[in-house]
Amino acid sequence: MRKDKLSNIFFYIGVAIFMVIIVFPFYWQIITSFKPPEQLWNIPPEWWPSRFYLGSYISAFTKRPFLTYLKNSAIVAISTTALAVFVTSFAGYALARLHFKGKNVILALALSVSMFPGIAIVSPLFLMMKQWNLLNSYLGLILTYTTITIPLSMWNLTTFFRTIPADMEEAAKIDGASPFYTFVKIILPLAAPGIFTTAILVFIAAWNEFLFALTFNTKDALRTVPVGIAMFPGEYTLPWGDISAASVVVVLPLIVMVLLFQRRIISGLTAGAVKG
Amino acid sequence: MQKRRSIKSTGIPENVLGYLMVTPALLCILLIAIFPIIRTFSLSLTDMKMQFPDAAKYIGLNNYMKLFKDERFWNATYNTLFFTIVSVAMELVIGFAMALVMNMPFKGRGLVRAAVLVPWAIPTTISATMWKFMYHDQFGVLNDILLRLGLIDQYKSWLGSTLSALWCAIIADVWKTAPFMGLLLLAGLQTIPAELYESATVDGAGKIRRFFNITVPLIMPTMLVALIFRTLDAFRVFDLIFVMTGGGPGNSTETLSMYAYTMLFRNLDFGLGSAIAVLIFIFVFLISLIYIYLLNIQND
Amino acid sequence: MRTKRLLVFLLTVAVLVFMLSACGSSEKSGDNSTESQPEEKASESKSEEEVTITYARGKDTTPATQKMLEAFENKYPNIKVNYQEMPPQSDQQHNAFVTALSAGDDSVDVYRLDIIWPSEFASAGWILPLDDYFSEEEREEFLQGPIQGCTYNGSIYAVPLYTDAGVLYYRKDLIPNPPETWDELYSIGKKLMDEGKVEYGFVFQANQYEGLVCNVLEYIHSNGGKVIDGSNVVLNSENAIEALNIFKKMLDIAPEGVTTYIENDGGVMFQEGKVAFMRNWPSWWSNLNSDESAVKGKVGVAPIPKGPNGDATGKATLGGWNLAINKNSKNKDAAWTFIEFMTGEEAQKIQAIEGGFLPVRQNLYKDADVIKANPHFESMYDALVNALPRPVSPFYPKISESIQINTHKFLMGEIDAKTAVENMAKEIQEILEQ
Repeated sequence: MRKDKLSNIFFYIGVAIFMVIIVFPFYWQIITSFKPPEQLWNIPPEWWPSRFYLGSYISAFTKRPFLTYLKNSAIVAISTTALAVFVTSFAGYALARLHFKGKNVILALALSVSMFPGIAIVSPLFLMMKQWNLLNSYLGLILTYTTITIPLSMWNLTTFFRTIPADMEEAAKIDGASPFYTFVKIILPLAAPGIFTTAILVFIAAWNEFLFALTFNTKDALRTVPVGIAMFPGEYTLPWGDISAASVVVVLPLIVMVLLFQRRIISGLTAGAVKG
Repeated sequence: MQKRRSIKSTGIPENVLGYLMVTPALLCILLIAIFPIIRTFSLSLTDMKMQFPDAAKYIGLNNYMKLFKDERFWNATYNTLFFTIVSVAMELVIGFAMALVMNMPFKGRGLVRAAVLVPWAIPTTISATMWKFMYHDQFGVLNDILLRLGLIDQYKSWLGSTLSALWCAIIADVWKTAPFMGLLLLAGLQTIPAELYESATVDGAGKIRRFFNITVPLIMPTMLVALIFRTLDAFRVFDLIFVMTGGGPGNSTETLSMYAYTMLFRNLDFGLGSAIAVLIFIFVFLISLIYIYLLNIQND
Repeated sequence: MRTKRLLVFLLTVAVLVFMLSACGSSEKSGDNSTESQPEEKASESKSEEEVTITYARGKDTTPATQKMLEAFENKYPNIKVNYQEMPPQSDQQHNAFVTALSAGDDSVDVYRLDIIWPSEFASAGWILPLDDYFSEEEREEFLQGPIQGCTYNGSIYAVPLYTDAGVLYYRKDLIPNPPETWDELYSIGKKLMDEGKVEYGFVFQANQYEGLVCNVLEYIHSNGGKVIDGSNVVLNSENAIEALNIFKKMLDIAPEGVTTYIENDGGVMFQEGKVAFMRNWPSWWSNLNSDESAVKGKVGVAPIPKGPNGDATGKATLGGWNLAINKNSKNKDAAWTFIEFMTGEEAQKIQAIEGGFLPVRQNLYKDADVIKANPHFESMYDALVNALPRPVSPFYPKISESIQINTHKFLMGEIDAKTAVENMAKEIQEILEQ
């Protein structure tokens, strides 16, 4: 009993140290965002703002249309996630469970797409987007991001679908259910954690992308957050406070989102476990 | 067996249904990705320089020959391999630890799960600037911490030394992407049925035996997939290096993608730049073949 | 039943996607679309017709650009300017411009180009030669360095918008007379460091990037060295080797991390009062004299020092930005009207007074209003006239890269000055011959 308690304490200490390392850079950014300009470049750097200065936040929102950037990023990232996960959950299921020829070819093909360095395909993609009239639009970015994230999403979901025990499907089949019905009613709920994880991965990949966003959407009204933040520095200067404030604002909604979804997923998991 | 291949209730043969379900994803890929890839391949066989686009001609494999004799190319290859192997290995270990912790029931687990996502949710362009700033020889907090701990006796220029710059990039990369690994592995852990552990415990297996006999084999497919994608990403690392060092000091952090970028966008040498891109593709293709081979063994 | 559900699902997704794309295109038409308008206007070039041109430049942190655009639209009410701001880093602008122009994009009419880009863009056929618009007499009103940078194969391809040249900032409260030679700079800096008046003697830009080229060329040019003469590479000389060694000596009185520094790093250190000298661009003046600066009112500006074998004065490296017209533009005449205005006296004055940018017209350095707003301009004039452009070549980026890598390896102690100079000379020769 006492041994358990002791190892518990060690466990928490370990987790705490780990958390500190993980969170520290972000803490540093938050602190920087509240530092008044005169404190920003002190040597050695100070660990706490001398006074809480909100100027960086004010200028983050007033100097640039930051809310527009956030809105654009949200639209692009959410649509990409929906589209990619939707498309690949079908593909993943088929590849994991159905019998047909050429599965390995399909998986390899998908993977090979993600092997190409992004910088090499920017200019030909620009050419295509121009021809399709998709420059300066959401759809251009959504299609691009979806394609880039399909391989990851497809591989991931295929693996998850494979791990789901086959007996439940067999039972459904014997009951006369179609594979599609089985997929929607039985497999999808069981695969919830996998789908959720994939969705987060895709979402953040789309949320973070810089190069395509920079070249495809040149109008301020259609820019996404990473490009928007690149608009803060001057040619030779770096307003570090403003940039920190802007990045804190970018990360907060993601943290809130994860915290909110957290419960859903855990409840989804327990529901799955009860059924299983 | 016959029964599995055709489904009576809908009348669609199983293989047709399979192709149907795969089509949307493939369509996306074909629509968007195939043209750029073919173009890059064909450009790599020319001496296309954007400054004189009309003078471009077919030169066969000359660009590749040039690269194989190019010291800078091999230096970039070495840097890329070093970066990839070290950072992916560290990410795997740390990510696995994260996943195991997050899979345990304890108070504050939700908080840990959310916190772990923070590094990953910060766009690379920002997190790289952030790290660059923390590594700064004067304003950087890293020097401050190490000095307070007595580990160094004067400020050091971490990004300015050929010995430490690549390591700095690796640490920033591990910090940012270990959560990716952690999350994927966590999802994998969650699909392992609890009964397996229970029955093993009943059979008298200890914690360590349960880990190696149940956890590791069952998580292997997920782990391989996570490894594939992390390796592919690490091998093509660009943003991070671009922001933190720009390839310096003295080209000691120049990776293949950085080299390709310089050739394509700075020098407008589309022939040679495309050839580097194709070589990256081939390297990565070989790496993933190994993984796929391992994965197939796993599945059989 | 199940197929129906599938259909509903698919339909929902399809509708969603279409809504989003509609959303995207409505956004397009919302802000004075440039995609559609030029085509409508191209056929009729009557000057009374309202035209919209798009002007792309890196973000301006000062109010100058906005004020200039207002003045333009007041004067030419029939030309609307759609101002497309780009991220300030010139590399990112280069990316976006190159990608768009190589695809034959015509959505931007007027580009603002870095002084090192016109020859590259010109040889690629992306920008319009301006000989018919921009007469030789008119060019004489301008500073000659920038004009040289905008000229390629005997034709002029861009009009200078504002100029820039390396200058030496010094602490006039500590240093009564600025140094004229690099040796003097070194010994004054070292002395002030030893006395504990400053932490470091000198800061400059020695990261492996374009700024390093600007810095090292100042040492080479100020010591009688040269990179290219006509079509010959003449870099390999004793003077250049000596210049490189002087440059490396400066590392002794600089912070250890100076080999990772760009403009901002040294700038804020100087602003914090920790450094005696700084090599930087004229635009740092306003930061150094802002309320947040610890050295407000204590800063002097001097020309770049010279080396032992140099001319009478040091040679700064020329920077600056220029305006060019997209070859595919559908509104070339309106674009020219715009450029003519932006580089004309009225706009140049606004630019100098509101933004502190160095004018490109010679007579403005004697203009009372300009000098009143920027007293330091007067002392910079000589430095600007003497400033030398970087090598003008469509393959400049490769030349720059060779200089960056070899200089940085030299500063890191991996190769010696002789090897660095030989490597550069050999590589640049190969680049020019290709």
